[in-house]
Amino acid sequence: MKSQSSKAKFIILSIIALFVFFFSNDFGLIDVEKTSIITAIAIDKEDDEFLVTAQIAVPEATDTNSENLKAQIIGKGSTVGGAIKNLGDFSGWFPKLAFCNLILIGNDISQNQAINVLDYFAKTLRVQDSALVAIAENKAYELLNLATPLDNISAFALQKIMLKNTGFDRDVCATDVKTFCAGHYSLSSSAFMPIVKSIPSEKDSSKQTATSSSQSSSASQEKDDKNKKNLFDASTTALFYQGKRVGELDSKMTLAFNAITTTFKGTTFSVDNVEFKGQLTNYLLTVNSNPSSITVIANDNGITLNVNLTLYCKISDHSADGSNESLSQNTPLPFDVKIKAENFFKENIIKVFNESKRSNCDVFNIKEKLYRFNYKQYSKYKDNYFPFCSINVNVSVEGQR
Amino acid sequence: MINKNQYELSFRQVCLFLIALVPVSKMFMMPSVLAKHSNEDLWLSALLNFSLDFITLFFVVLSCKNAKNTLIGALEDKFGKTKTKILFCFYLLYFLLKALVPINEQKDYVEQTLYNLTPTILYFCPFFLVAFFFCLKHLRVLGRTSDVVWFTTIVGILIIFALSLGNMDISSILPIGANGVSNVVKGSFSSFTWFGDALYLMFFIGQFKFEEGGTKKILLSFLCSAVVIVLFTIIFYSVFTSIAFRQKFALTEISKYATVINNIGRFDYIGIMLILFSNIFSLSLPLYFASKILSYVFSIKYKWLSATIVIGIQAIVLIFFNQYVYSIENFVMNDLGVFFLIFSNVIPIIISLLIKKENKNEVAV
Repeated sequence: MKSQSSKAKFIILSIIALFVFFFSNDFGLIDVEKTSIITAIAIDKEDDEFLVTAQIAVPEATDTNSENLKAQIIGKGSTVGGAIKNLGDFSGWFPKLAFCNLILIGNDISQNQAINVLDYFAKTLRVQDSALVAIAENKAYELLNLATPLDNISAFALQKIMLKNTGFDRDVCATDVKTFCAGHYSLSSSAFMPIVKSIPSEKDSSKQTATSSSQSSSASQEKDDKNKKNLFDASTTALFYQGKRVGELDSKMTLAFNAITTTFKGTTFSVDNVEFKGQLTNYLLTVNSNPSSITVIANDNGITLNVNLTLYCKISDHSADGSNESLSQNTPLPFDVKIKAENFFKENIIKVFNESKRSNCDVFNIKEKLYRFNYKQYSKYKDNYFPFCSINVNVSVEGQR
Repeated sequence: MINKNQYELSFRQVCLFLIALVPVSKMFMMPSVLAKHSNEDLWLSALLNFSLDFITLFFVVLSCKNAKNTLIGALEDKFGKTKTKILFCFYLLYFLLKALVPINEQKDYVEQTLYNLTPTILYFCPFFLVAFFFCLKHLRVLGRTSDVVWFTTIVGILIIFALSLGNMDISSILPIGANGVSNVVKGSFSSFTWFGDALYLMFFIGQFKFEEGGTKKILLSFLCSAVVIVLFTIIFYSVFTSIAFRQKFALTEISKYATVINNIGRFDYIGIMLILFSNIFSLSLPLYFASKILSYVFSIKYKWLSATIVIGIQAIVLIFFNQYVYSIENFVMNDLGVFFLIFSNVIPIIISLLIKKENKNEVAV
């Protein structure tokens, strides 16, 4: 009896040990000191080679330093994968990409080769394809080098700008690797991503951040501390068709496009020059919800894109003497404010449509909708649908009643 | 004749077997293989395969009712020992071939998603040790495993589903059937290696006591698994749309776009690990039946010997023919469709009908 029970215990313990081996990565362990945790990657092209700049978070065993430390290393290769491998060969650090949440593409590369670059990240399992993608207005590595008062690691600051939580303005068309590639490989072969521009901040705010006591900071880090003068703007959007950059949405068009495609709750927008007691005043509205729909109806006469948007708003601020409007007041929207707001969104949605039509970048997924919901008409229009396409926009801005 | 006091499995275990072990092995590479052929109609390919298995299962379950003998006993009575052994030789080959792609897929999955570097082959040895241990046991090990593993399967699936639903674009599966019958059938054909689960039930004939209303319960259990996998393929395509065919391992991919994952981290791996755990037993099934058949066909007395041969063959293919994975996968998925169809569906239906007829005759006598 006793021997049977020991046998059973031995078997159970062996199985547990085997599972621990199986799932614990013990056979593939990389020395943690030889691992670099890449937080962002910038990709440019130089002399027909891809130039990959990796921003690396350097963990420090100290309780006196409140800031993140960073280092940047550069790798070169004829493919993006090769350049990333080259990073490790030069530095001796194994490039761990599981925490890489941002991929920046240089302006020159974005013109024709964005998909060649991003395809690598969509295919490999060692990088998150949920990483955000964006275009730098110049060289991508320059954007990573920039110092900002928002975070010592510029990639973290950029992510805060691009991926905003509910309650912040949805003024950025944030796109990740998967969405970009899915758009590119869709029937319409269209995709988009934000363009990040650096904006010099007016005041040097470096004194506001905690100072680093680290002695191991890199040279670039010391430079950063002296000159933290940059903020970022990502409210313009680049359009792609068949992998080529073909157009751009300005910040107003991006805002209107987001209103019909994303959850817009918490976004604010201003309605200016509204007459109030004989003077021109400005209103600030906050969106509570944005039910919207984009439908495509096709028949023998053509294709109609119907865009319906209802914005339920509240007045947040009113720049007028004696106004009592605020979020807590539940005040109805003045008629002029409603009309002006409706016109703003309507005009900009039409502008987005026109830019889409001009550039062939199908941001409204008209071709996909034609295929999914109007399959009988698909074969008729699939090769040339924009010339037959018209838009019908209905925007309604509602306030308290 | 079977001894009714010595049933290897309980009825509950048979139902749990279908819920716990049938769906898990189909959640890794299979959805992308289907998407490659039938795009947004991938779920129709899966549905077609499940329908075939459902019909097969229906006949197998009917033969399980009032079974007076085990499968081997019934076949020997009907055809004689030699013919039965010849038939089982084919089934030995069938199970060895059926195990190839899913086991290699599991190896690749662990290697590529849980490891940074290409690790030594040693990391996969624990699977073979578990499978070896599994092969040494009586049929009741399947029942006991099902009693435990149903929980990990269901919890794992619930976690993955809950995290994936928010990222779906359900309209992406429209228009239904636009890819044409030929592509749907091609998708179905190339994925036979992951299906054919009704066959396992054929080996359970006479091994469990049939309950009142048992047909309905078994078919419903199978239906649960089928619905889960068809839903899984729909979710998979709705998350990835046009790039679904490029996402080799659906299980790791579909849940990671949830907002909560972005904020907290990859806790979806809890669900993935639970499914991986269940999958170890699901992948051991063909090896288990292959080793039992080997013992029977060649009258091998030592269980460890037949288990070693079967596991050894798989390990050799996996380790020494690693450079030929592409050709092996192509061969199994593209050239063995008819072979799998015959041995997973056609022969089990014929055998079930014969056994059912036999049972009827005996009742009449």
